[in-house]
Amino acid sequence: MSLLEIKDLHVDVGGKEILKGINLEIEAGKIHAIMGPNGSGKSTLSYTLSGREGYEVTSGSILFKGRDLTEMSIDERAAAGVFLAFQYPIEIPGVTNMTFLRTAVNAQRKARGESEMDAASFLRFVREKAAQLKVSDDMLKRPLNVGFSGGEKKRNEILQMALLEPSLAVLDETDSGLDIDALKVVSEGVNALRDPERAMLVITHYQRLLDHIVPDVVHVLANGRIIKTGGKDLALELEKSGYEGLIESAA
Amino acid sequence: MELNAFENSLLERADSARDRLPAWAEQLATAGAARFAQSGLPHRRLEAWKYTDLKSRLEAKRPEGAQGSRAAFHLGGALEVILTKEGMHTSAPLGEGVRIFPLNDALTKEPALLQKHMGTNKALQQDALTGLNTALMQDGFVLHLAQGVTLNRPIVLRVEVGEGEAPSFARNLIVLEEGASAVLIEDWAAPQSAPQLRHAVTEIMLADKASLAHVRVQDEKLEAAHLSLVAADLEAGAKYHQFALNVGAGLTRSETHVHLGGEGAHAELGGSFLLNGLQHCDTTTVVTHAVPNCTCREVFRGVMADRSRGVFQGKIAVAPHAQKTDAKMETRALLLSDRAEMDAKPELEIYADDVKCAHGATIGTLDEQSVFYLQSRGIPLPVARRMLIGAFVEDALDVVSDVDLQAALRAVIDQRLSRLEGVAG
Ligand SMILES: Nc1ncnc2c1ncn2[C@@H]1O[C@H](COP(=O)(O)OP(=O)(O)OP(=O)(O)O)[C@@H](O)[C@H]1O
Ligand SMILES: [Mg+2]
Repeated sequence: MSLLEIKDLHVDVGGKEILKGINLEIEAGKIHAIMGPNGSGKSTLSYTLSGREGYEVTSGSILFKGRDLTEMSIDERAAAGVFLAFQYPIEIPGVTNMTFLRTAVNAQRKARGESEMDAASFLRFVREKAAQLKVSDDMLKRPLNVGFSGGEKKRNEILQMALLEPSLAVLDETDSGLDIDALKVVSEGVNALRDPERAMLVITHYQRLLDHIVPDVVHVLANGRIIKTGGKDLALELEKSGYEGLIESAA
Repeated sequence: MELNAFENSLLERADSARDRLPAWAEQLATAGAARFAQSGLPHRRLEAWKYTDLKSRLEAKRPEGAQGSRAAFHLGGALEVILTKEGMHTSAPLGEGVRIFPLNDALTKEPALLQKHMGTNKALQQDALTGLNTALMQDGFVLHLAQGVTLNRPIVLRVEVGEGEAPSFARNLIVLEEGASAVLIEDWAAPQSAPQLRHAVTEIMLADKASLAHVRVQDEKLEAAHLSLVAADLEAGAKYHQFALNVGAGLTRSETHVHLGGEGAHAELGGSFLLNGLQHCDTTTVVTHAVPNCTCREVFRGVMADRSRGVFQGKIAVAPHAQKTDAKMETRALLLSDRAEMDAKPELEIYADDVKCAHGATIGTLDEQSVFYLQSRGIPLPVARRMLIGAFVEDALDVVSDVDLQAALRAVIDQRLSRLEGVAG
């Protein structure tokens, strides 16, 4: 059984069909990449997986670890191991990053019937992971994402992933807004989380990221459908020839 | 003006209560009763009561129901003062230059102090309800700090008076002489046998460079109406900080008048109201800049769940010669349900030309994107909403500078939030 099984998924957003029959299977331990033109439905797929309101599944199914994901609330999905690194992380004034991180980690532990972490052990845990991702103490103390630079926000997303240890991580354009050094730091962070039990779905526009995070499978999503699937070389091909030809031959 | 049965019963009570007062106070009481007899309870045709039709609201029955378990306000290291019908209990000696009396004691023991200040605040002189309060004043306290005295720890004051369910009229007087400084928390949390109507008038006199941090925590039972009127007079360089936390009572009026009467005086008013069910809470402030170079800040945060209603009326008045006034007023409200309501009426009345005055009022709902973000990290919906609402309220707490006091208030706020419709989980 695959970790994630999406069958003929149709999703409406704002009364308009955006995903038009997605089929996607991801096995544990694998990294899949999704590429595709702007507006093709990549973020829509990621939001649908995390259960965002307004993303209405009109037909098809999503099984995660054999469970029907569409029946679960947003936080239940998270506790079950689904994680989305946002394309545009949200700024929340008044809630410090640290408080947010501890609340999230403990909420998930609680949901799984594990004991909550006390403040001291949590601090050690965060400090260690934060250092690897070059997230400063200052960023931990500040209100969540408020005034963070684009790159800092993305590093903070990966920090959350490192702390929450999900079994399926969806990274929505985590490379956008990163400078060359930050791209390396983030990729190393992601690679450190590669695990036979953990799958990743990496959404990106650029081959560059896939040089660092090497995918097992690459999909092309266009106009709400996966129109081509291949190995890591597909990304290289796309870099050269663009989507146009592919979309025409799929139509 | 035709008075209704309730108004007449209040006046009758005033008549029979009057002879217990010393002669000077009896005069004030008689004048007060006469003022009330002229106009009766305020109603919505009066501009200041436009959104809170007190007269009809007091006639209507308020919803019953226990507030549920509340986190009692607790501040470690504070000096506790409890006023009961029998008298006053303090948890430790007050220290040199600090005096507190129950009002009834002060009426006979401190006539000079009371006569000097009581009823002198201009904001109170025309107010009919204050007239009634003067005629019926019984519960309440008097706090006096001598020149230069600094209270080394906060006073938490609880008023546990009132005869069963009968209306209670509290009259408080706070006088800080030159350079004195204090932190005073009034904790109004009533047991079930508390009065159905409480009216508290607090007169505050801050002499040159005196400083008072004043917190009011109100968590009365839901059937009760809690009406409070604070009037503060500030002389040169005096500082007055007020934080009003209103979470209880079916009907609340939290009214504050500040008169900045000496140069360099500074007022900071903040508050938070967290309402549920059919609760109605009206915050009304009037800050008058009577002389040049005074400053004021106002920050209010309201959270309305279910069918509750919040009101904010804030007025900043700047007298013609009060140049270099610096005043800022900001109120924000969060509606947690479609049926909740907020009315905000900020008002600037400026007669000077060299001033900085600003006001802002916003009414909104919880940001769905933020809720989703938190939930997507595994934080359950009620907890996520609570975190966001807590963060929203937080700005108002800045009015209180003491971190322990902030934490004590936050505890009451958190507890309250967990009981709001749509937030409880
Ligand atoms: N609320 C909405 N109502 C109508 N259409 C919407 C709504 N939200 C998104 N869409 C549309 O859905 C389509 C897919 O958007 P989505 O964000 O999934 O694209 P994407 O593939 O992630 O694009 P990008 O590469 O630019 O991030 C777009 O055409 C967008 O305009
Ligand atoms: Mg996108």
